[in-house]
Amino acid sequence: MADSSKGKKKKTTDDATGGDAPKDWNPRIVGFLCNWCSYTGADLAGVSRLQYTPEFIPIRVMCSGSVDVAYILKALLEGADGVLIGGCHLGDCHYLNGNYKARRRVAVVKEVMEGVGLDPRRLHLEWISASESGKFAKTVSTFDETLRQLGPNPLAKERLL
Amino acid sequence: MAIAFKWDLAKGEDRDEAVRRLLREALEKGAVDAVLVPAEGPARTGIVNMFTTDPGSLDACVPFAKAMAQFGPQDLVRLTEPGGSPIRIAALLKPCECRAVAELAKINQIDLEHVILLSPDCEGTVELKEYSMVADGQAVPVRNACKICRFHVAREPVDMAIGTFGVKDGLMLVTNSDEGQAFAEAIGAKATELTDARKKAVEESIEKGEEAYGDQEARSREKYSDLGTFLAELSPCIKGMNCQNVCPVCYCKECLLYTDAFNPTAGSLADKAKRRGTLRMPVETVQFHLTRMAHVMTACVMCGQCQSACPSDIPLVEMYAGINRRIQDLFDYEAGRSMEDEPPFTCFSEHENFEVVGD
Repeated sequence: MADSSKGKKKKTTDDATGGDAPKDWNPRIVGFLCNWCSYTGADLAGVSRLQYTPEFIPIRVMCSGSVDVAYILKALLEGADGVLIGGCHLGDCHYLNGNYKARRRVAVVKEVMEGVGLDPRRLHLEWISASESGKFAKTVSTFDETLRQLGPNPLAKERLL
Repeated sequence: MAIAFKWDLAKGEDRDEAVRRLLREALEKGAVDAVLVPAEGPARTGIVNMFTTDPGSLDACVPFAKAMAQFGPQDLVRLTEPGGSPIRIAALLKPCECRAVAELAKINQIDLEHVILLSPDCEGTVELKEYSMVADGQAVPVRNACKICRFHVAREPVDMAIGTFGVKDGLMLVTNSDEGQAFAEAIGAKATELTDARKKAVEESIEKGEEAYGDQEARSREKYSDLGTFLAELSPCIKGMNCQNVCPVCYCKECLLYTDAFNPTAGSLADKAKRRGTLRMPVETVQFHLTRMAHVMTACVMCGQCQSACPSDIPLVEMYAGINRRIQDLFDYEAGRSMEDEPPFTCFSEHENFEVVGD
């Protein structure tokens, strides 16, 4: 990834619960996929019979820029182990600049997550075009792998939330 | 460019009285039509904001009050709503309130065209309910938010800071805008030089604030690196939403958190309970706090009104201190700093990255 202009060193909160993971546990991922690129890319991945985790729950949204932070947090609070946001490549947004706005929001949510002790790696933003079915499957699989290392979402086991 | 004016004390006058005289002059000479100022409530038990057009009623006004009234910025939203005939208002608010006013003005919630913002140097405020103790002359510690404040002295875009820091006699009126300068001239203040003592005192207050904030930021990062701490501290939350109601920068007319998506029906509650096993009632308490943090943190001025209004004493200031500056720094933004900076959620740059894509 290109360096940001800040060049700030990111400290990552580690909420790892890896050791507690039950044997049959598979990370559950909620994906907010933009209608024009990522969702179509996911569709193509299905048509092409590419393999990725069956625990991926896609939600089609019109634009990655339309995903309010509340819904990202809601997915995590409802027990998703990770949230994936898929948008068009920069410059390709159907609404011109929604993905730029999504990027700002994700940056804020990651800071909030870190600030309360949730691992920001549980939120993943990726640009996936309609033709990039391979990238979609790979992104989900890599994310799945990351979440396996992190273990179950600690919010999922909170009984009173 | 800051231009300073002098406002001497008349014989037997204290600083509060000098500012009252300043406001009376402003009303009498027609520099403004009305003022919005902090005033003592009945029996000196609290501080409220007073809106008046009558110079005779300014006796109750306490410009340097050691407590902050609620809703100052929100009052200006109401007072400058479009439709009415515009009245020129001088609003005397704490520096943090003024920064919130700037945030609201940027998103067209306040029309500053007919408003003159005045802000006295602030040494911190106590909880409202403790005001009577302060009025009786007791020493009461300032609120947590004030302990880590970096902005004891108002800067741009406040039209006029009413300076006491580094000022020996009287007051130094430091204007930051043409409107502020015209106002100072209209009330008959005499131009003067910004003294070195004043500059030094202001710098020191900023340095001290930065240090205190930095310490708290580090402590908060450490404390909340464990999710359990955050959840435990939210456990006494009664979801009374006072924090949201008093927040000066939380402005949406229709709040997402009041929509059906976050107020589930009986059926979906049952489904949810089945899925999760248990539910905390009322639902969405943690969701409420996390969403608020993400929604308002780019505009948060760390006034601490949220914590002051919380009946459960949830340490919101402590929670926010860990992320407030970090989030605003992402966008090279500082809430209330300037009218030119665009609020982070209303703009973007093609060249930024934040290291969040594919991470």
